[in-house]
Amino acid sequence: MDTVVIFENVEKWYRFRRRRIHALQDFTLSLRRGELFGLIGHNGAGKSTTLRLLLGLAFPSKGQVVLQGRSPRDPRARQSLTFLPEHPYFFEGFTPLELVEDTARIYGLPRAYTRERTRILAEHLQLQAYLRIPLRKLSKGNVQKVALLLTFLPDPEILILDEPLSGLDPPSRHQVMALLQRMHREGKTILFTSHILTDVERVCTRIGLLIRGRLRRTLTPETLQSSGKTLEALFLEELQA
Amino acid sequence: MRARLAILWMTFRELRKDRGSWTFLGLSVIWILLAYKFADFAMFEAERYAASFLHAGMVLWGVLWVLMETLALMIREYERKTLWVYLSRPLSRAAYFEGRFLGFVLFLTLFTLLWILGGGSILQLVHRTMAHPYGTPVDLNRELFRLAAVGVALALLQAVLFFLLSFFESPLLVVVGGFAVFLVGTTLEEVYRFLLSPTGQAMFPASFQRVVDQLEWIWPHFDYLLRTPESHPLGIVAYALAYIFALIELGSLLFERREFT
Repeated sequence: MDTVVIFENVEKWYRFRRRRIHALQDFTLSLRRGELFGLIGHNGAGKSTTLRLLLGLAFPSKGQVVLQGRSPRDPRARQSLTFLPEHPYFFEGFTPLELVEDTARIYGLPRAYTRERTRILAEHLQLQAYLRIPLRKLSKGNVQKVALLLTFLPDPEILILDEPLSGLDPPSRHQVMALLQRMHREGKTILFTSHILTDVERVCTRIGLLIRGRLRRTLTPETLQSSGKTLEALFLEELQA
Repeated sequence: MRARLAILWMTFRELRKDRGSWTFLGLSVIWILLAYKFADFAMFEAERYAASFLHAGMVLWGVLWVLMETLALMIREYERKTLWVYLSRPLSRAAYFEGRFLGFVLFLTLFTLLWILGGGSILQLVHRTMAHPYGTPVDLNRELFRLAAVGVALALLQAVLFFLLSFFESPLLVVVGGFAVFLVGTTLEEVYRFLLSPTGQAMFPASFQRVVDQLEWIWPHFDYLLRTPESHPLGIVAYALAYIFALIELGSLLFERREFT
């Protein structure tokens, strides 16, 4: 398996009143193609900073981030990557179909492919009835589903999902998890953050515990099982250490 | 180019669907129609008054539209992190920045066309029904050119706002800063002339005059566009277009190096 994401001794700090505030310290992580990696951490642990560095929205203060062999700032590195933010917001006058058109134009997707893929994804996410309704008239959960549809639309190789399950009811959460597992089976690399530890525990092939800007541990389902503890218990243990 | 066009079209559609845009277009239509009624009060000078009323209306509603819509669409996108989604897609930041700006300019073009067509019709109507032999004659072509120059001035203001957006995070700073640049740009020439007068020279030190003199070279001259002197009208438009190009290119460079929190 080849490595698609590399964080090498990354540090990220911000200056606030002449003081350095460390968001990430000595952060080293590699994601191999086809991994489903869950990044968990407390509020302010540095999850968003990690994602921003990976998307090229912020730059490391030290160390380097490599995405598909290039700098994340290079648009070619993001050709087969999509990102879902925690609280997705799009212009409320647009319908989901219009957003699909815009996304397809940016990724350069053929029309027939876009139409077919939208149909399939809308069916999976149960969004068929809402595709022509402006976002301002949709519920928060349905807007989240529209954002997921846009994330899956270009059939990306790498998916970066920030709290993909927030705002979804249990059946929708189940559908999304099933969709993620299916994409994982298809060989996609998925990095996601979540506060719902049971879901992370259930689907991830590797889990990273981010505590106060440091990647304290990475776990596999096997190491988790052999520890005889739940993910939540391990996480709390690390947090208090 | 594909990404720029996609962002341009998306921005244009956002503006087309935004209620704020329609409010300003509606107010513009009402103002254009009011110009006819206003001319009626002006006796001999009906044509000149109607032309001034139209010109002032386009500046007023245009500047408000540019400030409000930039605040509404762009700042919302920054604050709610939709920008993260767009910038995570396979497009350069310059493509996003320039596409967004061109989308606004495309809508401004429609706004300007509305004023030129509506204003031109009203001026024709006033000329046919109210022109007086003792009144000051109005050159219709020149008046329409002045309205088009307002459109260029609005595009310049839009470029100033985008330039500020490339590095400021606070929406208030962008809008207040943009409006301040516009206000100074419309009064700089008058201030400079005042400083050259004997009263101005007596009131302010020579160093202040030198500062204003330097500012004359680097500050965007909205004043030239709004007055559009007859001697070199096309030169003024060329100056504005060059200024817009420089601002957007510089803004793109700053935007490219910016970190998002």
